Amino acid sequence: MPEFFPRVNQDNPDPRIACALLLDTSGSMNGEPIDQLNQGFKLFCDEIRDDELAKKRAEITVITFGDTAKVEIPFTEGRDLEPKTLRAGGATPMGAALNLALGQLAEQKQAYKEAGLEYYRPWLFVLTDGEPTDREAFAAAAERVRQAEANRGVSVFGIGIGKAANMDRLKELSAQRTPLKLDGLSFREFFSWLSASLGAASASNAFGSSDTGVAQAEAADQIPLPPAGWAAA
Amino acid sequence: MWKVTGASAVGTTHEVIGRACDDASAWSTEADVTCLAVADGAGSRPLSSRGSALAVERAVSVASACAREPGASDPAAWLRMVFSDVHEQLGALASEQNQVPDDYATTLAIVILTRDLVCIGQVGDTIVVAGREGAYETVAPSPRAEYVNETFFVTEERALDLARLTILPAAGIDSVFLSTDGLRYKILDDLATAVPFVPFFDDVAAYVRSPDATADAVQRFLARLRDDQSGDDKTLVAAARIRPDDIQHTRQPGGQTTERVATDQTAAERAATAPAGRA
Repeated sequence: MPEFFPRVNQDNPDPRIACALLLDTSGSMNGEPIDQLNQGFKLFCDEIRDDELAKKRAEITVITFGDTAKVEIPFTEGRDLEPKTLRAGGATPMGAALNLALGQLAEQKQAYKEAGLEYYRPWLFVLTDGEPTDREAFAAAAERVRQAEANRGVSVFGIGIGKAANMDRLKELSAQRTPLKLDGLSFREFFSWLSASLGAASASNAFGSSDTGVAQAEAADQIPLPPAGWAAA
Repeated sequence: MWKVTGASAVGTTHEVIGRACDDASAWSTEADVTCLAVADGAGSRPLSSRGSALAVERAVSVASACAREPGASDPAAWLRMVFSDVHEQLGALASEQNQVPDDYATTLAIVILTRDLVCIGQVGDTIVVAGREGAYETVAPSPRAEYVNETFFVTEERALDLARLTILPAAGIDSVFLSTDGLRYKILDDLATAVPFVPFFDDVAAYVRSPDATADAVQRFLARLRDDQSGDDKTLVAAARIRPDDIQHTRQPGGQTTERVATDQTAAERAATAPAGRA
């Protein structure tokens, strides 16, 4: 007798993991650092496309802070992500970038809910080689980020680039995760790790239809992130 | 009368970390009472597979005893009895083992089919679907809105308050399906509203009615359904109503008479021959 295999629904969309990359493009990033960053991001675009699950589950936005804080790439599925050459210049309006990111993440989550999509806890990466120049805005934005983290609405990763990165400011963004320092300009290693990490997250079932549901799913299935080989000892 | 089959399969993400299946199912048919149960042990709790196994065994036995008791007439009370018994049993097991009840945390769905009634009780994000001549409806789906869709477990103090109890007249209902949340992407048409994906239930109902239906085949289907989008353990228990006069007496070549169940063979064959992974 032929095997029993009833028709199943193949059309339900996969759960989503939103990932916001906040990249410092201030004047001090000019030259080798921004070149390495651009190369690393290009590699990331290639690698995320090669991950069967991450290419459809991960949605990435790139927000830069240099002259202004702006959305360089709006939320895009991994498979459609295209490299973009970023240019450095201006100050470090990190507070404005954080506010922009929180707004984008909230909108994205709302869109998931309205579309009936389940989601993983969103990721927020902040990479800087200096410190915020919009001090007051930063203090308020950092408080909002910590609150969002405490409400289990976002996972925050702070990454310092070079000697002048103010790690104390990055520490203010998370009560749960200590910021790490990039080993030299190992952007390629970092972005390779990020695509592998989004792959690991996408292969886990730490998702749900609300922040509470996500937290509960995480308790059952922790996401095993690969070792951060890009971090300075 | 009802014909029942069902099985569970370990989830792909559980396989990766070497975790066994935390889902469980059980059913019984005695006299005019058929009881079905599925349970999903909380993946975060160490002994939840024992919790789910004990939950379905107790649920089926308590439900069956309640519904068969002479003069039993309050079906909501049967369901409440099931949840309070399972809650107590898991509490007793925990205290015997010097553990906390939460270590055995599990969801639970129980369905009691009597001549007149279909009684459904659920705690947590289980899925129960009732079929009427090819139309299917999800019964009391787990709410999804923020702050209320936390999965609840029978081990919680408020388990009885959280239970979703539904009593339906049996007339017209010709199939009932129970599942844990691991199959939700594959058997629901829409996750938010929990509307059933009709072709799946048509095929399963036809298969259950077919004379060759086996639990092993259901288990193989669940195990082969790898791209389930949830990565979670999967469980399916299906019951289909068959009338005594549906049973044909077929003469076999050896002269032996065997009972065969008349079914919609086209649907059964279609279900049986659909290739893996096809929509």
